[in-house]
Amino acid sequence: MRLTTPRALLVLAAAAPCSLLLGTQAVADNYPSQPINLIVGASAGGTTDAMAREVAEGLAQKYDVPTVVDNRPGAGASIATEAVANADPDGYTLLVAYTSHTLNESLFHELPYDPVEDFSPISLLGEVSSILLSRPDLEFDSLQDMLDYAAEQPDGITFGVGGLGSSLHMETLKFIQESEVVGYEIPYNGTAPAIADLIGSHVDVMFAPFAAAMPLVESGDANAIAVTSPERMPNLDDIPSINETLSDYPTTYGWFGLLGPAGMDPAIVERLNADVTEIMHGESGADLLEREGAEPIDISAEAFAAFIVDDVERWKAIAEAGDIEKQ
Amino acid sequence: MDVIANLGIGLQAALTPTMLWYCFIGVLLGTFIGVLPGIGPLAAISLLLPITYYIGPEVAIVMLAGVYYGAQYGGSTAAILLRLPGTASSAVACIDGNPMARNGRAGVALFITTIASFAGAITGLIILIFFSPYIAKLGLKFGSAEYFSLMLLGLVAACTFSDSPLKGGAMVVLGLLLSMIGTDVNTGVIRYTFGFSELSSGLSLVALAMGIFGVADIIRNINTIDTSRLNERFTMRSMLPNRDDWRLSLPSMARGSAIGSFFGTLPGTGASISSFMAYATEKKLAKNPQRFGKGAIEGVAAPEAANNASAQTAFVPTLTLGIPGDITMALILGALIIHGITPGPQLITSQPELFWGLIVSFIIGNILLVLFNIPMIGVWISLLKIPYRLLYPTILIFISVGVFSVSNSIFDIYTVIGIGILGYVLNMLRFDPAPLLLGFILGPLMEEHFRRALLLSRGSLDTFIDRPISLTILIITGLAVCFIIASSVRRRLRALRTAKESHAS
Repeated sequence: MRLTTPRALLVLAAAAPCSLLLGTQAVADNYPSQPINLIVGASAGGTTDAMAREVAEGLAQKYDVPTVVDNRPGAGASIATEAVANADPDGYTLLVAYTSHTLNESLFHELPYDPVEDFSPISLLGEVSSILLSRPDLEFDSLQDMLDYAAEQPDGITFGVGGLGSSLHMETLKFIQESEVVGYEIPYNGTAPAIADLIGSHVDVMFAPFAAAMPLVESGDANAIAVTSPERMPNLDDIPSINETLSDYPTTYGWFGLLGPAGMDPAIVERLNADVTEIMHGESGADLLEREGAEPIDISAEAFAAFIVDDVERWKAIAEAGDIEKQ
Repeated sequence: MDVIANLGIGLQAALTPTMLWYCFIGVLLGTFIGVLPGIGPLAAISLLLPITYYIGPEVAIVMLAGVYYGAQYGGSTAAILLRLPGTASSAVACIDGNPMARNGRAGVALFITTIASFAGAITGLIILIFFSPYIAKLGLKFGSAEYFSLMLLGLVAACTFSDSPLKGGAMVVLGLLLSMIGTDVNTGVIRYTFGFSELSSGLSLVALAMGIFGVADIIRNINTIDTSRLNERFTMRSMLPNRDDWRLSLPSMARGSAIGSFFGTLPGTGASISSFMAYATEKKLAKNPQRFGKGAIEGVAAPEAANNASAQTAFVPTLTLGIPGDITMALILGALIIHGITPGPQLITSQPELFWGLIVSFIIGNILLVLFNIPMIGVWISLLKIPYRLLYPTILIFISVGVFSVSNSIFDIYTVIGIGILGYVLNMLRFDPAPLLLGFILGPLMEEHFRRALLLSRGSLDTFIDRPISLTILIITGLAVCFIIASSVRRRLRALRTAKESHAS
């Protein structure tokens, strides 16, 4: 009886090279044969988490393997990102990333990973824009109106910033740079407390995510001034876009995407890209995106990789112009 | 009449078998989660969140909310019996609840906490039912200047937790210092992390509470194992509070409920601060403050009523404005958002079945909790009969699992060990851990609001006294400081006088 274990090991050892010989095609064919882990750098309940769960749910149904959403919030998602960068590129550990993935490079001195080199981009899940809101007792007919008002104020106006180093923070920076308005950034620890201070009229204006802003605009607890998307949003066509007033305003998007560790089998990447695109185009995926003011998109893994490279550069330019000191 | 009609809608929605079932599951789970040290409602709700994909939004939120307020009931159980705060808000229950258990009055303590929890929750619900729209707006009147003044009052109150205000003050400062670890909210500068990226979002509050109370206590008890008290038999009679207990605890429950209801409506303050404030108030009002920390029943009743009241009124900003007061609430909101319901000012009018059904389910849930918790007292007490050599390793495992579950980080387990050793040393030096914990909770909030208030006022300190609410709170704070100084001077003089008299005789 004692001999059985070593003998079994010998057989395995002999078989191992054979399986290597079968090459990558076999790996892709067998994929996925074990549970898939989706690591998320945000806490459960937020938009990124909702995206991750949508993907997890869809993949679990398509592949018939369990998919686990593993929330590891903290340090601007860099804890989760680092974990995926160091994982095996076997397609069983994936990252659901958001804007911070490309932004962190401009905010931190020593990121423990490279947002481009250490990852295999798989699929862009969605792009979101934000809405510029003003406090309930401050109503403007247009963005120009707001800029004129700000110019009249001896102390300028205050901008609530929901989360330092967030894409909304960068949006605020960029807006102040481009519009040359005298504005003070008031940082908050997240979007919710910033919104609370906006509807309590403690802060003048803020950039808010679409999903959080809409109910407040509808109830009159906040006023919508403009949207950051290049054109008016389809379900909000009475709100102008910023570049109608500021003509060369560089529009930016926040985004959500799926990435794996660098060196993933291209066949697996292709397959995941196709399947995830299908999931986001499905009814519940499209619903989720619509609530965030977004639409399903269909781009290849290569195009997504190029998007990430550009995005890193874009944030770098904004952060440098805004004199953001790296940490 | 409106309210009655609305509650009727709610009853119809809440009294379906599915809703009742999920409400039951929620509060049952909540109680257990609360009892298990460290595994707070946050971890439980994040685990349950995926399940809510398969059930409707109404039942999902009824279940998740049940976990949330059910955990407030259970949280104090481990705190009282084992000096293990399951949540930060139940750390206060350690202060007087644990001495009660050591005096053989664990049953009474648990009974009173159940009743106080119910009283607090019902008070919170009454406010939720009748005044939701008004208090939501009132809470928004609190800007950063008001929050800062309120936190300052909290810190002054924390100093009174110790018998010596000076030692209490020292612990508050240590708590403030520990709270400085992490990312500065205004500039993003990372402070005191010594290169550990795990520290960039600060020390874990759960790890701190468990370490400084639970682990420290285990280290201390290893040397002084005392099993004599465990052999007594617990009868139903020994669990029931006597007339004195009722006389002392009923007014405390009322005050605690009021304090908790108030703090619950302020987004971002939450249950922990309200239970600490309720405790400080009781100690201040007591004829004989020396009893506190040695098993005063008011010190159990008031904070317990407060944290349950705040757990209910915390739904006001969450549901009526869509602004979650804490991370757990954000998660519950997340469950609604998953189903395409965005909570906001129109929720009550656009989804009356959801809103009123939820409220009625809260009432049902709280009744279930009482029915469920009172018979359980005997079971919980029998935990004390487990020999220490089996109990302690088990507790340590629970602590590790619980701390780990908060953000899936091994680092937090090291933190809890380190804090436990610190707690043991402080205990040897007779420093109280409670003011430290409150300093730690209030520190970041206070700093954030102070700096934000100054940013908003363009650097003028006048903002704190120009704003009437802030000014009023500052005046109360000033009076409290005078009171502390006066009473400690008086005590010092009395001690001198008795020393002199005994010297003369």
